[in-house]
Amino acid sequence: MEVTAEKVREVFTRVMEKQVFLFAEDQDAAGMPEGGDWVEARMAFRGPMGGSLSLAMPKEAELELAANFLGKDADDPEVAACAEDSLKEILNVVCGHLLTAFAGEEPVFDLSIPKVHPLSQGDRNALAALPDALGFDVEGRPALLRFHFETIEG
Amino acid sequence: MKIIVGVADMRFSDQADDVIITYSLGSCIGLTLYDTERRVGGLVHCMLPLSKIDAAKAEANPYMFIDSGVSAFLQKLFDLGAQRKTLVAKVAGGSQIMDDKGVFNIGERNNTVVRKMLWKNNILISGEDTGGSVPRTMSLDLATGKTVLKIQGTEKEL
Amino acid sequence: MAYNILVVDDSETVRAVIAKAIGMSGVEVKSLMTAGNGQEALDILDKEWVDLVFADINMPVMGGVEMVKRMKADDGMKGIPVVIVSTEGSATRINGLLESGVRAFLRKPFTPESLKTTIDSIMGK
Repeated sequence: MEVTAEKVREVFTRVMEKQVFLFAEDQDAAGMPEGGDWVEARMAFRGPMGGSLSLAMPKEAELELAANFLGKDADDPEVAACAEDSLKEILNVVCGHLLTAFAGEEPVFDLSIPKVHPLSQGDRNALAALPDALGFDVEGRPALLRFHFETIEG
Repeated sequence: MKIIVGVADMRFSDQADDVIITYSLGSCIGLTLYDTERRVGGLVHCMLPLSKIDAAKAEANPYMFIDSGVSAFLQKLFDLGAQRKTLVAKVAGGSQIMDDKGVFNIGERNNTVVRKMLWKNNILISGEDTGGSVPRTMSLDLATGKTVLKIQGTEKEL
Repeated sequence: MAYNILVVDDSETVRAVIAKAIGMSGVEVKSLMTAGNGQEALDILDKEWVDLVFADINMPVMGGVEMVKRMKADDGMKGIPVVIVSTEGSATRINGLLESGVRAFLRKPFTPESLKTTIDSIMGK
């Protein structure tokens, strides 16, 4: 199984458009603007291969994503309360679609429950520097995605 | 009476003998909204997805963009007494026309933003004919609330 | 006819989004109940009259696959139609669920229109 950055980008872009009506365009992961409060959602999967998926973005991007997911204005109090959950859900949907895109429809994977935590500038730089990290411009806001997998022996 | 909707334009009516029509929808979006109880409706023809690319233009003519156009269109119908619950929405257009680089797909983005606006306003799409590469003519008959499409000479109800 | 609908997902946000889509579908809802996992859902199904269940697969405590298994083993619950709403793309697992009696599978991201079509087909509209 060969994971290509192009295919990962295509799946992410499609899910963002269908689920939260946002347009994600390619950007260099190393060229992300500095500063701002970021969050990272992470989850793991296990099946014929194991691995993890991370999605990181500034808090404001997370809020816009949640507003679109719920179909509400970004300043609605319910949106802030649901922001973390919305990011987890997008990660979950992207993960499901990446697994089908790369492993096909036969294998069965178990997915972990996604978790969200704040991401410091240092951790963000470290994430962006990883060879499989992909950068995006989501309607003027940056985002980082990393789909990492390893083959399980036996 | 036949009421013609231009590009980046919206028309509405509460007169049963009116038919509202727009011609040659390409990558643009045509959206009809009709209140089945109040019997008012209209048709908007928007060109581009998001108004944030040119706020001044959106201010001057909200119907150029889908986000500002759908909001302004809904407001007009609500002012006429239309209710969200009884509004029937039909969408057409959004043909896939590539730009010269062959990457940017305005029709697909237009489809995405019309879905976003209707989701935000709790309005289900009851009929849809989008994508492909054909131009479409779309009309709304105020007497019946029927939306009809004409594609390459063939008519069909949406 | 108005229905009692149960939405099962560990995310309150996802439950709200599914509830919004059900509201938009035009289906008449008498009561919309929610549960955070399969066990909570079984507790509700044990006490309340439910016409239709929407459930996720991946949930803590008890997931959707186990919930469906237990429903099918219960005479009072086995006839209640279940729609799985999930990001799951494995045909192996989806076919297994359909064979175990799940009525429909709606893959995320779903549209309110596809949810309406699913409800209409199950409720015989």
